[in-house]
Amino acid sequence: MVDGWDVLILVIKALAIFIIVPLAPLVFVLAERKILGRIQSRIGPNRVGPWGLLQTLADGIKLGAKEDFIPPAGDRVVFWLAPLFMVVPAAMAWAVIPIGPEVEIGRKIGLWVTDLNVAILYILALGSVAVYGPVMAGWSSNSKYALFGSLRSTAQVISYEITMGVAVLGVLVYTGSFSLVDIVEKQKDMWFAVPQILGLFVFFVSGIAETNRAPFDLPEAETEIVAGYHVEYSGMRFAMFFLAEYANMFLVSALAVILFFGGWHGWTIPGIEGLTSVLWFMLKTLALMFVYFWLRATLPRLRYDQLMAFCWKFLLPLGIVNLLITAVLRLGWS
Amino acid sequence: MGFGTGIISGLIRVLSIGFRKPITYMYPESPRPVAERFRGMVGMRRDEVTGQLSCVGCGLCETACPNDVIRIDTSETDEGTRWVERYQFDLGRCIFCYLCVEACPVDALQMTRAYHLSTPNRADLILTADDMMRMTENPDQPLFEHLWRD
Repeated sequence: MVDGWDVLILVIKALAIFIIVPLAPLVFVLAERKILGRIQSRIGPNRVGPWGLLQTLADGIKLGAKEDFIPPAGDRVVFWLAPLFMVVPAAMAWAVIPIGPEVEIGRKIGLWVTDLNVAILYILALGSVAVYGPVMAGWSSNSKYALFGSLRSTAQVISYEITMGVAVLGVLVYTGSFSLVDIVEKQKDMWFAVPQILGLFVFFVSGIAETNRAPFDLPEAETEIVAGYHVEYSGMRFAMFFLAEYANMFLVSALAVILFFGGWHGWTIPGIEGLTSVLWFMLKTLALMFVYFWLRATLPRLRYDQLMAFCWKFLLPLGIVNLLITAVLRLGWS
Repeated sequence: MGFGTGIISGLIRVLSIGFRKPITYMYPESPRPVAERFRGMVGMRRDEVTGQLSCVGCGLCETACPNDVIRIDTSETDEGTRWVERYQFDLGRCIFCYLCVEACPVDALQMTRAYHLSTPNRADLILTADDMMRMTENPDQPLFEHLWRD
């Protein structure tokens, strides 16, 4: 039976997502700048607040104070909608991400907003919706650089979505469930990163390409096409693109943890299992975020033909081979 | 070398650099120490005996300067003694060539290691002999100290 408490708990969970999704990028942007700084023998932001902790907040305030410019020759309505198509799916996907197990606080509460039985499909579908963000932004800006950026983004995201799907299929063959909570529960004894090492590789590389991050940051390549699809955006609208990029990175990292690194499983301290589980989940996710920054500091940008060849001639066959091996092994097991 | 090993070794190399100490000097708080023979601002020696300006107003530095930085106004007393009325040094035009230092016959102009010389106002950069003597004595002190945050 659903009572008032259930509704209240659901509202609190939803609010938590609405707070975490915009705030997490604030931390990640600073972390990225600090880490990149250290790798380049610099210090990174250190002037605003202690250790530069308020730097991103200051940047956000600066963006908020800037002029909100809409290109006169562009399409106003589409220009307005495009950032929303980036931010909303990034926030919506978090509804199905389980950050911890079921905990007992008076009643049984699962640390997820909803345990959807087709969660993986839901997230992949939202990823497809998010493609419209760059497409609409590039088209409505009425600028050649923005259009180039959005064309690149479209081709890239659509291509790498296939390899991502194939990589996820390997995990689904093991678990036999689309629910993320079930997938994590199945990894109690062994992380899927062990049998699915190829799948993990394909998934994470596709994830980096999906989020348009280095070395696959062709859609927003500053040195080639200025800033890609968001070149005409300023102020808060640009901030929304920026926010969505980091929120998507966070999402892909969390998804990789859930699918391959055992989600919230880890050594727990008796008595506060719920808390330690959430800490484990966050620790793993942050470690993967660090890999994102690490790759950005190391690898140069791919050429466009290399990007496409890597996807279709290397990653996709690899994913299919992985899927075949998994299926055969699974068949032999049962 | 196999396929992909370059990426792996690159990643390890990048990570190892990340654990090194940053080479940044936090400028206003702890400025970078300069080399012994660093070419800083042109300074002015204070006369040891009188404690006054040691310039005799010969005007050789004015002539030697390729960039019209120095301007000296002198006056003569009835006995024929030359007196420096005004010594003006436009740091904004100075190219730190030190030709004036070479030209000075009484070693009044000197090399210093002072380099904290920034200001938002160009007009501030037109210095007097007092400024130059102060910077010779304290080269580590900022030229426009009142502008610095405390």
